[in-house]
Amino acid sequence: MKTFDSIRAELDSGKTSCEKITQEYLGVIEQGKRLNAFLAVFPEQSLEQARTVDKKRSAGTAGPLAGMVVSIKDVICVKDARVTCGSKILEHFVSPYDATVVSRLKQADAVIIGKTNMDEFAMGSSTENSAYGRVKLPQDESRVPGGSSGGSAVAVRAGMSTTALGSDTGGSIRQPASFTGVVGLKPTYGRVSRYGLVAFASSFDAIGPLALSTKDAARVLGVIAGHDEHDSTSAEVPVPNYLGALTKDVKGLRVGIPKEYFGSGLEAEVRDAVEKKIDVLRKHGAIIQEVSLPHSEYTIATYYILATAEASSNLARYDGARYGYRAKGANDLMEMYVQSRSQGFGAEVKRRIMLGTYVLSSGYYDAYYRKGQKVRRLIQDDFISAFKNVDCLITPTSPSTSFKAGEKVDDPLQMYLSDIFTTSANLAGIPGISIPCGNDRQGLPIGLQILGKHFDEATIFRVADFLETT
Amino acid sequence: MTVTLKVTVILNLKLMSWNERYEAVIGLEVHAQLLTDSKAFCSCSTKFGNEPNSNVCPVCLGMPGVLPVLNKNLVEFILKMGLATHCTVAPRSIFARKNYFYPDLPKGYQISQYEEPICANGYVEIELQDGSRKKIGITRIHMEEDAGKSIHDLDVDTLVDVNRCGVPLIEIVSEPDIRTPHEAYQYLYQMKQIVTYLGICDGNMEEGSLRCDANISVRLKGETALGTKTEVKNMNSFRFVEKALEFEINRQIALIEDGGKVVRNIIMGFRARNRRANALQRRSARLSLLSRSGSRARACR
Repeated sequence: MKTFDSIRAELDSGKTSCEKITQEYLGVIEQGKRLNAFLAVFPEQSLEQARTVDKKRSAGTAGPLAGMVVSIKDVICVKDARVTCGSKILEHFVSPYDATVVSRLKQADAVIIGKTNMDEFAMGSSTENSAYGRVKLPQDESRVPGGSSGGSAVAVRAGMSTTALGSDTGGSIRQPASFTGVVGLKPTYGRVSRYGLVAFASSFDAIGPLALSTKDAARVLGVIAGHDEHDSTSAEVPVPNYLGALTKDVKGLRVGIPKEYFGSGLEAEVRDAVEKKIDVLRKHGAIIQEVSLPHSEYTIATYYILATAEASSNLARYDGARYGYRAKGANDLMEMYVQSRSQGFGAEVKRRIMLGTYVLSSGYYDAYYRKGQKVRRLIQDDFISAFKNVDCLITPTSPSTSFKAGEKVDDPLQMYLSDIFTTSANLAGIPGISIPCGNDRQGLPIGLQILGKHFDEATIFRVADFLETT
Repeated sequence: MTVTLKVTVILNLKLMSWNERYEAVIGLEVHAQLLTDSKAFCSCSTKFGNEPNSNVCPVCLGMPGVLPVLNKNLVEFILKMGLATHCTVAPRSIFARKNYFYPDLPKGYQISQYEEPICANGYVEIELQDGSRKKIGITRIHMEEDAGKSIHDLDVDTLVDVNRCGVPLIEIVSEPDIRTPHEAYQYLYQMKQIVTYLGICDGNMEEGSLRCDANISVRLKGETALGTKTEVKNMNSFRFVEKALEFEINRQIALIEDGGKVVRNIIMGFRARNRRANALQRRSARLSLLSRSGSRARACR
């Protein structure tokens, strides 16, 4: 497993080439097939792309990510490749276009190696909800890698690509980063274009990087961030030099510790590991203070009302009429809809479509959806007032380390609770990063989450990089 | 011959006496297809008559992962209409999704406006038969996108042409200020004049670039409560709007006079060629699947 810095050093010394590097990653993917991290691998295209980058390198015209090999969560469109979203309903669907993040990566000369496995339509916290089989945790294959970006997290952890793109609607980048022991960033809502990201919950969805180091995550964000004319929700806020923000200095930095995130339900080992890191910051001159986010207890409920409502509308287009799976033998239009959707979607997706349709239906709209929107604002306000006094917040990423496959599949509520510390960032639209924070006694990675102000990824990168290298 | 004449005379007398006691309350919803070069949320051409399914791209086809980008011209056009009809322009306006399943609606929802339309509270003036002028209030004018076309009458499965999908429309909703079919005719005439003068719509009702739905109820004169309304849709000429309204008003009055009740329903398919309104069954498959997000809950088109 190599970070981009060591790859670049090897490239610069002439020891290797992009083609060789890509070849090596393809080999690791082949050897690690049983982990089921990939839904599609592009051997010819990636090697061809690598050869082009090698030519550019010798001509001195290579882009900033030359030598980086990236895997893409299968919810993001790559031109002429299938985009299944881990669902049977899109099994044979080939995207006619590149997502903006993909074309920006290609332009920066990153090599796209394949598409990673995921919970169906990004709904899940264990990558067990894929129509193409579960993804296994490299450290202990009987366990889950978290989700929904479990395939991307495993690809990075197992050295199958330098970095990966994931999507985070309620913790789907950060929680698997925590379970596998890698870095995962959910950027600010609007920081990264979502043109080409198959929508789950449009007011929550964010694309972000998973990487072995904060520095690599910062590099990828620097390339994919910024306004895109194809996405009206991508903000016209300048993109700073994130690498320049990694100053290794936390003196005077005001760090808030939200007390609600350290209460019951949190594993003692996770708490201890996070508190140790907080002590490190304190020792190096950061000002640590307790803060309160009083509406925290409503986070999960609010999230599941609003996100499922949006999902029920976003997933309406999978009706068998134009593309994707169409059931055979339907006698009329209604039967075609019902059978195609009943057979094409998995249990968790159907559960959320039903929940979402219910909360939007007339008579229940005010009681659920509108109320949910109001609570969302209160949760957002909690963060805005906390950030008046602190520069960032530190919490555990998930209340526990990785759990056994099958342990929570029959108990959706338990499954939802593994995102209890991550969904608030999506409700508030703020950025959050998960970084490795030691292991528990079983050797399973623990994750620490740093939350920042809107569009202030620079500060959370600085803290993450400091903790990683100190 | 004599007998027929007699009957006609009696009927007319009866209608006259009814009409003196009743009044109609009419509100019109006018959809105007705008003359923008490109669609509401993508850069596809809006040109009419091209090869089916040729004016399309991933965005208007509702492909997974695409996003809408609002056409600036659409906003300029609707603002012209709002100002020409004395509306208030909202400083903040939001789009909403109207969710329903239908094969000519690729996304499974229509992008429209519900709670905060861009223009509201205006009026137009019409001329009455006696030469006096009357103000008809405009409740709201909002932006939305058109759906595609389903073609059922060929001897094969239903065919779908999505060229029209995403073509920009404005919907102009009047207050229930209209009292007679003639006033409705005058109102529509004014609308056509305004949109064609502004150059935002060609105003051609026969070709569907101007469409009209009517909400109609009747009540005894002097009453303030509204009667049960019916909705008449798909009227494809000015004259037939007038005819359809006359027909529907007389039908409602006759029903009430016979001791019956007006049932709230949707009447489809009043065509220039068959001069009769047919109450079709509610399209239950489509209606029962309605839900709303971004808060839009209304019967579908």
